[in-house]
Amino acid sequence: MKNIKLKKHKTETFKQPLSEKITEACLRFAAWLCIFFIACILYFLVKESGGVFFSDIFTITGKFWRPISEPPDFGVWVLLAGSLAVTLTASLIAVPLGICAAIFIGELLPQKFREFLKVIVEFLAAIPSVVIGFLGMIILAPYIKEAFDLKTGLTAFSAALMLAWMAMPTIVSLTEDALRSVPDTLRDGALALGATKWQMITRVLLPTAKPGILAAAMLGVGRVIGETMAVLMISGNSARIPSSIMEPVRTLTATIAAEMGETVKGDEHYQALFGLGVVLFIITLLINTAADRFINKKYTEES
Amino acid sequence: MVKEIIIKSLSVSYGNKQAIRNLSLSVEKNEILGIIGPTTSGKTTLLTVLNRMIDTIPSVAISGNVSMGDIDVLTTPNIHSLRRSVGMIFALPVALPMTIRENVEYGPKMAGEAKGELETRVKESLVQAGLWDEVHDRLDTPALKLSGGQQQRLCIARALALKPKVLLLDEPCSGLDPISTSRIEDTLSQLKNDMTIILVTNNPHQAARVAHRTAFMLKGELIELADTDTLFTNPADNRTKEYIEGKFG
Amino acid sequence: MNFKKQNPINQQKRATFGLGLITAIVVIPVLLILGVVFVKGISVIDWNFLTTEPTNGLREGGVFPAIVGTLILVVGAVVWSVPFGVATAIYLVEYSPRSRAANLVRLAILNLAGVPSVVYGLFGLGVFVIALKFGASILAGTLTLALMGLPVIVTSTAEALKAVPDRFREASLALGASKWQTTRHVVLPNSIQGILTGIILEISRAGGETAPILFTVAAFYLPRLPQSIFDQVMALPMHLFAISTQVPNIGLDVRYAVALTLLFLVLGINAVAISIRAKIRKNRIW
Repeated sequence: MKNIKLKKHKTETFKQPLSEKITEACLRFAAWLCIFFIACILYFLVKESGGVFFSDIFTITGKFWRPISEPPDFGVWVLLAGSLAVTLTASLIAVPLGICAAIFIGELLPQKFREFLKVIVEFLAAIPSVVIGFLGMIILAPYIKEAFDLKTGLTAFSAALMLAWMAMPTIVSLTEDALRSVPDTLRDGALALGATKWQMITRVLLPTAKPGILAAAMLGVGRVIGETMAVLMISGNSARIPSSIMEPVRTLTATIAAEMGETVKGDEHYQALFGLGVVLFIITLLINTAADRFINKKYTEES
Repeated sequence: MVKEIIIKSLSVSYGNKQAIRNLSLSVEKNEILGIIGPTTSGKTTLLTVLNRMIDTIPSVAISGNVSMGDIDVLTTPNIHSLRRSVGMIFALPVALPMTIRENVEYGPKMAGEAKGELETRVKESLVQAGLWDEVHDRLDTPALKLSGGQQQRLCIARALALKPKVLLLDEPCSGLDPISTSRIEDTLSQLKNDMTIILVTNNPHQAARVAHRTAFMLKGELIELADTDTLFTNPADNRTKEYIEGKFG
Repeated sequence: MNFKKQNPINQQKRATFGLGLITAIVVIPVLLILGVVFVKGISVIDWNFLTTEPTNGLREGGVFPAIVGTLILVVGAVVWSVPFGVATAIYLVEYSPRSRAANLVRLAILNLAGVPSVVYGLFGLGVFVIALKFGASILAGTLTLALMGLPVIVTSTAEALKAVPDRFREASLALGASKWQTTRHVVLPNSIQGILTGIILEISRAGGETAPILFTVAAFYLPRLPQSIFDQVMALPMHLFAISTQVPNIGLDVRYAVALTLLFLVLGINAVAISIRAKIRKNRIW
């Protein structure tokens, strides 16, 4: 008995018209370019940082960022601390609020209002970060200064507050997706047993959608870490390790944006800023890959 | 009788699930072969092997031999021309989201046939499928506006436009009302003069009405194949008898 | 045990109220932002503001070059990214839905989407501006924006393609059509509106970006229109950033007006996309 295994590509590409093969080759080429691009970005960041990682002046644990002193000091920790302060605070606000809003919009609200609120969330996602930064500077910062009796309203907290809202659309819409991907049979099953809608949500929906919601939160956090313009304008730009979130800070992203214009290609400062780029790239790569794991886990559990 | 299709010891499995076990049968030219059996008996799988739509399913393993004239179905390099000569109608009507005319023209157009011929081909096919009278004045309206029964006849017309040698129908009336069903059965009786038809159905009465010979399949195996009259009045196998009498299925 | 169990109906009411309140906290600031910018900025915006060049060190005059610059940048970004993005999505959805290579591509796209905008700016500076010697130019800026927009285009196109039911593909294949014919004649015509929606959303996003154009194309003050793709341009987001942080003694209303112009542009384009999408959902026949 002869045993042939039909593999999709073997049979379908065999003796196909040439045009068909060329089309597929072009499409595949475009897709593989994406892998090339991401590799290319990492390669160039590392290359342009020119081995600054191995020098004494650029240290991950360094507490001072003094690019123009002699010799310069490129301590990443002070900026990382700024990024962490802003990101953690923003996440603490955005993640719970975003998840709650997603549950309300996706599960409890009548269809009519749902569409309207979704449009608002989309508009929020579309507001350019420079506009958020501008409003943070002239409306939020003076208010924060007044309310907490500070020297300046440009603080980690102000930035975190604005960033929390910028992360909200990601968290809300991805959480909604995760909730919607729970099969209707599970919902109906719970409701048919006499559970209220709220009981169904807390006991069936949330536990089932948990991996997807976690992924939503992580991607939201990823967005906050990478946010640049708003932080640059609101966080106060002070490269000192903060003792509280009510002090000005400086983040990795803001440092790159603020200082790149002053550098000359190839000098230590230029290399150090690309070094920060590598650090940022790796952080977001880790977060995104982890989030992807959660999303995949969700799918495998379903099937 | 001339044999149109000869299947020898065909086995198909999806992953580790065996869908067809060592099945052999031959189909005669210009006959209507009915295939009955409960769900998961492998009927649909058998059809998808015959025009190689099975290729669209990943991780399938096939063994055996299927020949159609001088074509070796399982190894033919040109599956597109195989599919053109072996038309397939699905359980639910799938009118493509375009106009009625474009639906019928679709196959010949993709095969690269000359534009001049299409006009007459559209009419011929719709007439053959018994749909022409109902739609001739609105050929350029969206096909999805037709009723379910009309859509199913449109699908038949669409397959006929390619002048196939074999027509495979996979429970073509499962979603239709009795009137639409009888119209399609009439159409099939007309068509058998021009082609060979394999009709899979889970409604034994339909096979009894239109098929010359009927096969009974169960769990991927061919239990019995006989003239329709014989199979229904005097089945050789007890399982066939029980299925026809409605004891399971 | 003696304490009373909470009545589930009351519990549900309380939860709904609480969640509704939180949603209001999320949503109301957005409306406030839009309202405040509108009210404070609208008085400055007139025909003159939109069609003249800035004067007196950006303190007076209009924003015409910045509007033109932003439009050039988004058009350029779309021209570069759409062909690759759509092709990639077609490959992923139609040709290779579950191979290992496709998974790798998918992971690459996910990570491209996660790379911070300022890192794209760095990359654009290092590669397009310096290594390829384009200088700070429209070419360098649009390529940077295009790379950044690629994942958005791929994801939205893939969604649109996946929305076309498989039974249409099967029907087409069963009629002897090849894969590309099926894609070209059945899948694409029925997903084109969804693909367009994604492209328009990308336009709106690219129009609001600042960090990627900061070092690659944007000019602080350039009161004339560009002559070639090797020229720099002004851009609205950059302009707002500049007058908010770099120029002293500038009227608050002018800044609001620039912010409003930018919001109009970005949200207007966005609204177009949203309405197209709403129309598709309503008209979908299958």
